[in-house]
Amino acid sequence: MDSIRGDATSARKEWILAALHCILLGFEFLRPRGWSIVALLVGSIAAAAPYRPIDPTLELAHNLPPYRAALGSGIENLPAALAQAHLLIEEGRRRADIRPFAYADRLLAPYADQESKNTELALLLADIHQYRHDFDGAVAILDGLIVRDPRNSNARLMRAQIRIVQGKGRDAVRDCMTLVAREAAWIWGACAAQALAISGRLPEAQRILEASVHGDTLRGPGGSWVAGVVAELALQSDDRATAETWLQRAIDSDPYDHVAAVELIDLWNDSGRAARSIDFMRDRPASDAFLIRKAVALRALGDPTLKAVIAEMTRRFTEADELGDRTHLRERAAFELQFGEPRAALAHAQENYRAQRELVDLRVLLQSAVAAGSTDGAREGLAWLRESHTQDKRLAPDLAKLGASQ
Amino acid sequence: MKRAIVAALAMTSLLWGSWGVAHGTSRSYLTLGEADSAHRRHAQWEIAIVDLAVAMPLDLNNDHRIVWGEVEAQETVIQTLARANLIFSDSGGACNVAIAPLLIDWHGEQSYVVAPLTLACEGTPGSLTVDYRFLANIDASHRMLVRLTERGATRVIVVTPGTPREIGGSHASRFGEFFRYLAEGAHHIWIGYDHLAFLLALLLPAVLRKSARQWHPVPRLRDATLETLKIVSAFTVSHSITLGVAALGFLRPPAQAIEVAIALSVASAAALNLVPRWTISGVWLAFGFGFIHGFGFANALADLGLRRGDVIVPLLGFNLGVEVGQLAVVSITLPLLFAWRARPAYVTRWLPAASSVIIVLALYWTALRW
Repeated sequence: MDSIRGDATSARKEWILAALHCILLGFEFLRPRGWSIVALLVGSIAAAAPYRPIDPTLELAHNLPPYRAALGSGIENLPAALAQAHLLIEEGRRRADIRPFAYADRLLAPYADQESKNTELALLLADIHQYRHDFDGAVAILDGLIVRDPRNSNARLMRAQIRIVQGKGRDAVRDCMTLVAREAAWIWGACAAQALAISGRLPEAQRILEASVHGDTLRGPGGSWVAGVVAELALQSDDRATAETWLQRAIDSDPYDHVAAVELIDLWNDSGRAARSIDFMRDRPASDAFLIRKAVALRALGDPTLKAVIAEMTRRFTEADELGDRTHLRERAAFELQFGEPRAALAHAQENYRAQRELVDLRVLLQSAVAAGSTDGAREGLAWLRESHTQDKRLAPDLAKLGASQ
Repeated sequence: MKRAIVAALAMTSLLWGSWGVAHGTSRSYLTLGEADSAHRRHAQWEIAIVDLAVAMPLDLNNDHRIVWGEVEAQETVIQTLARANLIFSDSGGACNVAIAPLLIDWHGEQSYVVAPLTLACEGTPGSLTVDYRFLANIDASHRMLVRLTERGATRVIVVTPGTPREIGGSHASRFGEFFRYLAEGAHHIWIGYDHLAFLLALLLPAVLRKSARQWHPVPRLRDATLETLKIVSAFTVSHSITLGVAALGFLRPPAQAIEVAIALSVASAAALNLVPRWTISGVWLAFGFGFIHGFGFANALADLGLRRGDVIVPLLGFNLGVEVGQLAVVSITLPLLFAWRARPAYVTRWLPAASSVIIVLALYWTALRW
């Protein structure tokens, strides 16, 4: 028995020695490959460190956007620049990528002095501004365009949308109503319903929408927008089932309607369907709005990868501070409300509310004020609510906690 | 009119401005260390593959994917692009920028090309300016985030393409520099497998003693430790002498000759293990060959960028790092060898086998370096 054990021990030791030899030979193999291999070895130990790959087929990016082609040569006049800018912006929307908006801006920069003469150029520039959260900049361009051409439906519709984001429902209603004589009922109907819903006239908004929206409207361009408006009004009445149906229709109509996707995920996360949310987000961009919802879903599922998502969000917001970027404050406040400090959430919700005043911004503000125990913190939101007479059943619990009502 | 409104709807139907559904703006990262006493700085520039693919052709086969092979094929172009878009200067004029082979890193799902840089500037460290030009004509919202280490703390500076920016910078403290070179010294032992092989060749018989021209296991761990200490100390004394002499510029033998001599010293040390009747002590071997290895360490130290000025702190740090590296190797190897020494096979098979492998490797290195 002892001799067997002795043999086994000596065999094991021989193995260890053989392994040592292999290491020495391994060093020799690595020698000509030099630092890159050392970097790789270190990289494999500490996965976070940069490394030099060995495999030439290692994929570093897939589904590469065609931006370089769109920025190609031959863009020497305004019509060509406009065509390429359209392509870039469309691609940016689909991919939820802000960069092509900047490329488009650069393409159009040489023609900036022609903005007052060229409607298409002015509309594109306004669109680029609003996408960058520069709502005042966008409105300034549209104001000029509407003065020159009061019957321009595009400018009216876009300005109405921005007014709605700014919480200026009555201004938006005026723009929408100018479309009545010139555009199809479903276009001005959806526009007006959106604006009326944040002007204390929710029942009227619902009546207009019911009268103007029918099956056909969902198939053409703008179908997802109309479906989104129906869903938003349903949410204001806390009719979640209807909202879910219409959000789903919005996505069926346009799979790249990422806003409808975000609202649908919120509904699922709120009703215990976190696994479905995670599954649905697989092919969506890893932007702040999606990542925070992913964190909420992962927490509900008790998933250990939550930590990494929180770390990534924290890293992004730290970097936004370093860059002086104040664009995603709604998402930041919502994140801090769920995973951080209520006081920080309130500060960011207040700053956000000064820039954009959709109902979702108001909700984040009220929730942050409740969490931070500060009724005064929601002052601006409460004032807007009194002034606009807006009704939204989702706000009721937080308003009650703050001792206010609608 | 219908056609016009369709265009507007394509925009407004997805009016996402207020939603954070889009990715952040494009940015690159520059990590910048402190200048050492030779006025050199280590830095690294990280740029997203997708941003690089906008500025230069990277998807060589137009399959809408980018693989490492494509980056490797364009490596020189990327390095040239980095050099042209990252221009450093200080009070002494333009800095010289050396770019090491490119690496890859990941931030979340996004891959980045990492260009390791070494900056050599002539002026005062506090006057460093960077003129960053990447994407200047394509994306006005692109920014470079500079993370600058100064006296142990990190400062962040945002740089806009096309606008030269003074970023300051500082010398490393003596303390910081000492520890950096200490780490380099330890690292050199870890990757300097010829020194490892030499040590191993000397340590293999350190758990044995010679009597009647035969190897016998030493009875106590104390004896083995004492012998090892003597060997390591002897090696340290002699290599410190030549390392110092070479680093201070008194004597600098040709690097190739030293490399060959080191490889031969490894082969000789291992060969002597095969003939126990030769009575040269491992301590003397270590002392003698240590002089050659010291010149090798000096070359490694010179590769780190010591060109002029104050070399005392780097020299001390590097030498101590080498000792730390050696001690780490010894503390792992010695207990193992001691545990195995009493096996009859240790003297009859393992010692000759391991020494033979070292001889073969060392002769191969000799041939390579000749």
